[in-house]
Amino acid sequence: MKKRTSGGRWLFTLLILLLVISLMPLFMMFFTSVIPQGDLFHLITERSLLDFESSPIYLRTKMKTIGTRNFELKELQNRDNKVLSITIEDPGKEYGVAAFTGDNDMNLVGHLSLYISAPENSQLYLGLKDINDVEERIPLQTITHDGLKKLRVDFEPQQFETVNIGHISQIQFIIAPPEDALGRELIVDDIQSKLKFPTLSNFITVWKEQDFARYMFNSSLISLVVVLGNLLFCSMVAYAFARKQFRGREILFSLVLATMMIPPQVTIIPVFILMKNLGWIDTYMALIFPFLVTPFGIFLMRQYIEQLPSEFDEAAYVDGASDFQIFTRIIMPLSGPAMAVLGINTFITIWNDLFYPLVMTNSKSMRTVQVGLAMYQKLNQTDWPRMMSASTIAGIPVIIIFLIFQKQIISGLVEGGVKG
Amino acid sequence: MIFAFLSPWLIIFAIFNAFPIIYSFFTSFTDYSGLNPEMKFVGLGNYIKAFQDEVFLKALGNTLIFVVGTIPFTTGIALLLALLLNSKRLKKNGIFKAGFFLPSVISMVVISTIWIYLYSSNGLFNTVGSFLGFQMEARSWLASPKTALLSIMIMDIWAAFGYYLILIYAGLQNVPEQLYEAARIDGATNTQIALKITLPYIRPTLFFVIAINTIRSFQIFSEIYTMTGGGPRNSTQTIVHYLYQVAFRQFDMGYGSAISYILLIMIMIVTLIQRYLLRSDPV
Amino acid sequence: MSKKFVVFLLALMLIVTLSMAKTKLVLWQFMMGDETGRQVIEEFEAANPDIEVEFVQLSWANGFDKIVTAFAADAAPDVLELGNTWVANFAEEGVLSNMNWIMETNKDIVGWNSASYKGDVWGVPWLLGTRAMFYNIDLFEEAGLDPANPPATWDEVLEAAEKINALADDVYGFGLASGEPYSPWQEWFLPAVWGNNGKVVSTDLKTALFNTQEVIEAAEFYQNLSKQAIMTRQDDLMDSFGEGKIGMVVGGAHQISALFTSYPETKFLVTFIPKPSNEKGFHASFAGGEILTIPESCENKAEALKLVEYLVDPDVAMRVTKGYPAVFPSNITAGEDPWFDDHPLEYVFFEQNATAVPVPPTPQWTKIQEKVTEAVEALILDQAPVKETLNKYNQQIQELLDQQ
Repeated sequence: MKKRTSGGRWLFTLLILLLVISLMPLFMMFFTSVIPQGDLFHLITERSLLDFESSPIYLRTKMKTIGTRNFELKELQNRDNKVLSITIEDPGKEYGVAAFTGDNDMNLVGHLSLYISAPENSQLYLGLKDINDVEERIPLQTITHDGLKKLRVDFEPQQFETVNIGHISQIQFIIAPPEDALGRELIVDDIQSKLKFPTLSNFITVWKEQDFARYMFNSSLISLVVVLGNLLFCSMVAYAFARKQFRGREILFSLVLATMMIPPQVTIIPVFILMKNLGWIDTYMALIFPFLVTPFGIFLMRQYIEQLPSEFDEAAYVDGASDFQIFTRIIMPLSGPAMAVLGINTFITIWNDLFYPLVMTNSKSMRTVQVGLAMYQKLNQTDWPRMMSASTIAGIPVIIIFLIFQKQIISGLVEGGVKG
Repeated sequence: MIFAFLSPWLIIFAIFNAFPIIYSFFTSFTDYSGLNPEMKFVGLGNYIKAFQDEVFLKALGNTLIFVVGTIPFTTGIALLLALLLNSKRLKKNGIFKAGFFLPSVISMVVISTIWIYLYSSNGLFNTVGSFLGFQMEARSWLASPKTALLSIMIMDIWAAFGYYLILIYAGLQNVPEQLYEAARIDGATNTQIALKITLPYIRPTLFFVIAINTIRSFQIFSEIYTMTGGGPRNSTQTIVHYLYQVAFRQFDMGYGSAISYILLIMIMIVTLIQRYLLRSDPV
Repeated sequence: MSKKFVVFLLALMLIVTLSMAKTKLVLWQFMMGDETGRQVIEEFEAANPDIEVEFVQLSWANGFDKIVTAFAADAAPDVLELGNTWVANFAEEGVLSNMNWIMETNKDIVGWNSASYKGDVWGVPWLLGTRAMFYNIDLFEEAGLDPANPPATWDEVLEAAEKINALADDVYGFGLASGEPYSPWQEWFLPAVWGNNGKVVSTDLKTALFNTQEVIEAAEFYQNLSKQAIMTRQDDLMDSFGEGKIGMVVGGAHQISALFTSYPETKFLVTFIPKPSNEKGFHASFAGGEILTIPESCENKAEALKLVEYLVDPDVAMRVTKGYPAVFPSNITAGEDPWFDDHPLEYVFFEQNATAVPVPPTPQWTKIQEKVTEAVEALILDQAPVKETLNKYNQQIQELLDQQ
């Protein structure tokens, strides 16, 4: 066994450090995709929906009472904060409190809790109202004793049927008091919601709401066909450029490079005009055909093949092998690492492209993953958990493709060359 | 026979590239707005305008700073790490290769969104900075003309080196093992082997990596578009972002096309120089 | 030939003609999500059986590029949502249909000035977004200010900002946007100018008025305020506000829900943007608007107009608001919707729309606004002398106007 030098150890530590820095934003992306609310550094698992400490003008923007407009904020004995008190004026009616929640996704809620005191035998309900004013309630329990008591409500979205659970604007706690409750009080304090963490709910929402299955299919189909095209065609073209002498070779190759140097932003309009005349707008054709041979791929393969020792193909040539045989029997097998890299790169480029598919497609069924992801960017607004889970969904196939291909990036020469 | 090998590209080029290139080249001599098909021939007007346009010159300067400031780092780090990872000891360790490369699989929009957050006034950089005792200004790094471009360059180096690492690593795979062995028998150190044998051997790959890096850096766009929109005060305005603004926001498609052809000529010249410097010596 | 067969043939012909008669419209828009869009379109088609609508959702990322590309290739949709800042450019190129007469018949709709260019109307305002002032209740109380009576004039803002700024080193009285292309002038500077009856460009769009007395006063006020302010990008400001470090900041309605989800502990309220003084000016704000336009190339304008009128209906527009409470219907009767009862902060924005001012409708605006941003940053970041700065940029704006 060779002893590892201290220099080697330092180097190793440095590599690990670099690796951590390199991967950190990726970890942040994964982490944020499973949090219920918050952003990259900011995890929220618990939120107070209502307490009654703040000024009335603020409270008015956060809640309303149900059954009556009259309420009182008061301090109870042996409790140092204020509570909400509603006097029951008519036992035939229902009383309660509604907390405004904006546009809240209740799938993220684990349980709700509150302090409540109500006349004995009152029936307690949990009510929800969604942004389209649909209301629904479920009975919780009958209040059995009269003191202020903390109540925990485990929340299960399945219990609600009509209300849109993903977009809740009010959470209501309502009681139906017994007949003898005239003049008695309903007291409520400290309504809180505890969120699920970690949660897969973001993934589920994103997947359902955006039809990501379809987008995945589109992106996979387009990317895979383009990758296959590039592996075959680019190496063919590159072989000619790298190994053959012909007139105009350098001019043609410069043209290959030049097509890479013109920014796509200026050619998008003529390309669109072209696709429109071909009748290819909003079809797979427009997304696949122009990329079957890419200048990047030709360039990559040309440089790699140029670097291959020419002894093998010269020997084969002398033996009377045709160009086609040399290409398939010698060059292709030796180009494993470059082909792997070309495959990975092409896949990533096509998979991650946004500008081009966005301009070329109109219908929802033709969207690629990136176009779907772009729908998550509202103007001036980032919904971090959703956006990051959508990005994770978009990123995982690429990671898998990389892990598959990267095994091929090993010395092609030693193994392939000797056998060849 | 040669034609058969070249045909896939010739066909695709003729159908999909030739017309857009000719069309945009043609519009660069007109006052085409983009919204309206009417256009008037203006000769070299757009090209002359570019060199009198302060914002374009600023964008040109920023792009050059970006190119000169990032390419040595991305290529350098990538090359060093590729040589290291290709060494016998680390070769079997796939985790590094994967780990360094993974950032480049995520789309630039998402990466940029994360980094905007890291650079914000209460973000990671300011937090770590004040923890280390530096006096940090309560501003986003991207909000100040002094730091905005630098911030984007740092992010770009971070995001890109893994990509070039893999390209170089692939190139290292066809260096014949015999060359190394022969050198080792002669008693060469690892550094000597790298400088005298590996680097000259992979010159075609190096040219490819540097040329691709040059093209991409000259064309830097999505980072700018997502992170700063060219601001503050055009301090992150780059050529492609500016031509995009001119074409799609100021409706001066003709001028935008002209800028892209100026860019093409610049990249072409730089690439040819690189090619000359990294040419393979005839054996 | 049997009678039955003739009847069958006639029926077949009728069906064919009927289905041929179905007019197809293409709608491109940003604001409705897939779900809402699909529902709205289905209802429209049910009410208008002779019209079929292809619904395309544009995304904020690059959606605008798609529009420009389509116009360039003569493939524009039949009904198109455009941000109000773009109407002038499209109208100037002559690619939109004139909608003057439709304004007469829609008295409940406000915001027509954001759809106008050179005296003509080029679209129907659909959804309006504006800015209002957020303030932190806890910081107000700590500084001895009454959260029930937020500052309504420039003097009151300055006084409040000074008190809050004095609370701690990392607490700031106000948050002013800087270091970005748009927010430095949107999030208060130009509204302050407008509120003081000032203008950047004259009504005939020929003369720069950036160094008039009204603008000077606004600039002086803004510079004073900057001494009590943290100055960074708008998103940063809202994060700092959420962390309880900023007393007051001007922002859009989407920030209500962003604060509510990311910073549930921060107690804040929203009020109108302050005006110069009780005697002078008004509570001006920035008017962002989504305008429904019919491109000139549309072949079925009567049907397209039906779709536009359907979309601007307050109930339909309100559904967009419910899904994305950052923009509000242009139709003032939408204020009666019970949704606003549960969303009192959003209602402030809906009311603020009434005094919001759009940017001057000149095709040069994209360039002029860069100059305004530079001027604002010079004033607040470099504390440049007010009159010289305004003179300098007034001249540059004039040059841009002269190019037109």
